[in-house]
Amino acid sequence: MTKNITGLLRLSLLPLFVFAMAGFLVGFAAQGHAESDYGVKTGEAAPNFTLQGHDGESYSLDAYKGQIVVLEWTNNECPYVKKFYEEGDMQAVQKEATEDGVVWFTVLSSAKDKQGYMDAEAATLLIQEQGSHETARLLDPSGEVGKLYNAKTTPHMFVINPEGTLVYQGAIDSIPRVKHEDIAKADNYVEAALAAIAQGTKIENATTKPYGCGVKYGS
Amino acid sequence: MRFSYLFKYVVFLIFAFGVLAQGSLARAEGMSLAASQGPDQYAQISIIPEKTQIEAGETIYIAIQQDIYPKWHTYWKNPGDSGEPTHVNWDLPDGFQIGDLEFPVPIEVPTPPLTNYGYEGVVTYLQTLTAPEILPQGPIVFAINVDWLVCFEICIPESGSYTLVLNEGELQDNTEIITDAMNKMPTDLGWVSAYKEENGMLITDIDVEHPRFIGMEGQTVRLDLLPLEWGVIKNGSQPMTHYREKSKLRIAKERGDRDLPDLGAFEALLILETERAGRSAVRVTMEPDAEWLASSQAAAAAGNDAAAKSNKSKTSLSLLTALAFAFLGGLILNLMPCVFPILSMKALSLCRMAEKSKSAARGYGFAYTAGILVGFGAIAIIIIALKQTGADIGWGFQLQNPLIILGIALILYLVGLNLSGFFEIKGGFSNVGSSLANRQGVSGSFFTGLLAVIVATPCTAPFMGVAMGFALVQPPAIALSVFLILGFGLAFPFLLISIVPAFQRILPKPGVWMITFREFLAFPIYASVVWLVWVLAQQTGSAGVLWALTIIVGFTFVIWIFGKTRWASIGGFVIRTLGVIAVIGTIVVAGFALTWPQATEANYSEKTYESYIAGDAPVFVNMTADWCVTCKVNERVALYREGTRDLFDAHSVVYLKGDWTKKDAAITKYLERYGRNGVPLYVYYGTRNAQTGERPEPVILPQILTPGIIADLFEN
Repeated sequence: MTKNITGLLRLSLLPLFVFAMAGFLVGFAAQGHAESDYGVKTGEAAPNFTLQGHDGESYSLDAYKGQIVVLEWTNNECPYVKKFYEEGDMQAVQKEATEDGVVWFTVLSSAKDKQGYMDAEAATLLIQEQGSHETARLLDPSGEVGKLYNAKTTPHMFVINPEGTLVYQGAIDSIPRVKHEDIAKADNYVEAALAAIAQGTKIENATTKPYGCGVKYGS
Repeated sequence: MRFSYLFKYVVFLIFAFGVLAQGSLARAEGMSLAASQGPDQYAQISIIPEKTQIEAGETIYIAIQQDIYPKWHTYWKNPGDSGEPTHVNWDLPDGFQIGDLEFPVPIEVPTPPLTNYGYEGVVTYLQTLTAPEILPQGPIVFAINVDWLVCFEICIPESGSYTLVLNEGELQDNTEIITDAMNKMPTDLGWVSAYKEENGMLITDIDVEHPRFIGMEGQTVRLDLLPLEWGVIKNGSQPMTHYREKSKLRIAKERGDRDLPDLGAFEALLILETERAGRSAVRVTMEPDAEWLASSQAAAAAGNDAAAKSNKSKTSLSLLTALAFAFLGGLILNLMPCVFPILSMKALSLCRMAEKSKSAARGYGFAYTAGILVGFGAIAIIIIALKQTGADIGWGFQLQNPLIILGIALILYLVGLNLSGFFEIKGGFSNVGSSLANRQGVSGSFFTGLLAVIVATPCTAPFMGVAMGFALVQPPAIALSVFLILGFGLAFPFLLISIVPAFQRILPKPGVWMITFREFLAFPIYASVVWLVWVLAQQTGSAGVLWALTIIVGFTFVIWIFGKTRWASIGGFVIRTLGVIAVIGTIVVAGFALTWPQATEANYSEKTYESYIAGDAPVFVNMTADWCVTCKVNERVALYREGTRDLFDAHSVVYLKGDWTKKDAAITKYLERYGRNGVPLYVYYGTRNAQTGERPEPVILPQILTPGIIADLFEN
């Protein structure tokens, strides 16, 4: 009698389990890119990374301990990036910061077939063309570093203090709009953060909502 | 065991068919997307006042309608990871006041790893406009600037300037547009809910005292909580939801980047999505839980160390309780109608065997326990793994898939038939004892354990709420241990009997009563099948029930044939083969029923009919019923085709459907007018003659339709 049942059970279990497993596999595939808990909390150590720059050099975050590092996610075709580059606003902030000894990396996480993707040569040309003052433009077409920092938008700004702690992340300024005229009315969060580090005071807005276009990660 | 191959084959076919059917539906949806060049603007704006006349002191609604290019989207007030909501700026004449822009319930727009919230298609925002007590004379002109960001892969900021003129010309009433727009807005029921943060989750228990939410547990329904503030939750994270009480809904979502204690109260939408009613939302004001706020602020003051400690002791305390609940729950499961017969069968077999070998009995007990633990472990690991990828599942998620429900119903039905003695595979009741004392008995026990887990799942969902709910918001290790303890509880009674000889002595002596008992045990199993078919009915409607019952009859038929014949004889071979083919054929045909379109066109009433006929457009009347197979086939092959739809569109045919599934006097009268007393009936009323203004004689179409017959209507 047990045999009757168990025999039957085994037959019926097998296809059911196979089906269930197949279903879950399909589910996984549909989920696409498995998401994990990337991202850094403000106040925690900024994770190290190594990326190739527009100049062919290799840049590691660890090499800049003792200096302030700014990471700026960018995509020159994004209207929100244009807002800050077309009239030279971002360039001015970069210039002032780098002259004060800040290391400024623009990071490009657009995937190869997506908007804003560039190879080293194109990135070099763009820097000349728009007259930007970054220490280097870092190429992250795999999106690995972007996801490590949970960079969501272009622009998305990160400020790392000389101890290697992430002290600011979020928007470039306080008015999340695409119009250029708003820049003058807005508070620039990055400038404020850099000033606070220089003066040794507390950063008032240490985490803000980044705004702009989504980073064009590959799928 | 020849039977086994057949069984596997049939089950495989059923599942394969179901998967194919789903796939073809998905393809059909994709087809309508046309590839073409982009437009000048990816969104068009229309400004529509509730009415074109405004009186002094009056408040009216203004609709700002945004027609978005296919696949592109604009953004909700909280746009998610990127993007920007639409902004509307009014240049107001003196004394006029304009309200905030109201955003309708958004959809989730995923672009992994980012998630946005926004709109596709046509979206209507609302704003109130209040006139001053003293109204200027003559037409009033408003200048409106709208700017918005519209994205698909890339983002484009667009804007436009518009003019609205009120109090000019004839009164035009657009109340309908406003009402439609209001229906898509979140409902404000004055709900307030306390939130807290625990283990990286935002947790809130919402009192959902509203008919829309009561009794939704177990239904195919999606619940979600979308804050209007950024950084409260991780965008795109899947909510974990369960009802703690009838109207107490717990929602837990992964936290975002922003520190909560600083934020205080915020607004959120409780989203409810069902297949039938679509997507709606209720506005909820989220307030920090006083106790949590005090303790988190105290913790912040006392430093992080102390906070971590107090948190930990709290968790472990509730962990113990949860584990105890899980064990108790597992014990109770043994009494459930789906599990009890299986346990009983195991116990009965033990009665026989215990006389022969004590060590063998122990072996079966352990194997059975192992089977159950493996089963629960596997399900737990799958759930945890899926949750890590952000899937929206909880315990009982398996039961949201109609195919799995169908599978479990079938297995239970077959177990029931076997218990009833409808079929035996080999060997009789008497020689079971001897065959038990081999290795197969051990693996048999293991598989019985697995089976117990599978058939227990329908019973766990409603019962294990507390422990499961706890487990699912815990770290993986804790979640897994809750599941395993639950399994251990389920295995415990049989394990106890098999390893403690004293308990075996309590078991009654074997005898003929065992057969009677076994036959009796089939009935709770059948009852479980009935329940599962009812669940299926909720999920798929009548079509799914038709399919399930057809399959059940088919299986019974095949088993009966196999009991009467043998492969060895030629006649037997032919009959068996024909039988199997017939059954598979029936199942496939029944399967088509699942994909039969459930049309939702205008339903026939004399009033609609007369108003359609009074108009100029051609009218096509389809009288049908769900039980009318010819009607359904006609609809499938001729009516609900893209070609036919295009033809109807091209000739602006008005389509009117009468559903005679239930008694309907108006339809009966209509049928009589055409000398019919049954469906189908298809009548086409041609367009009015331009000169005479008369319609031609109505055309009565044959009862069997082809696309050609319909196309012929428009040839002349």
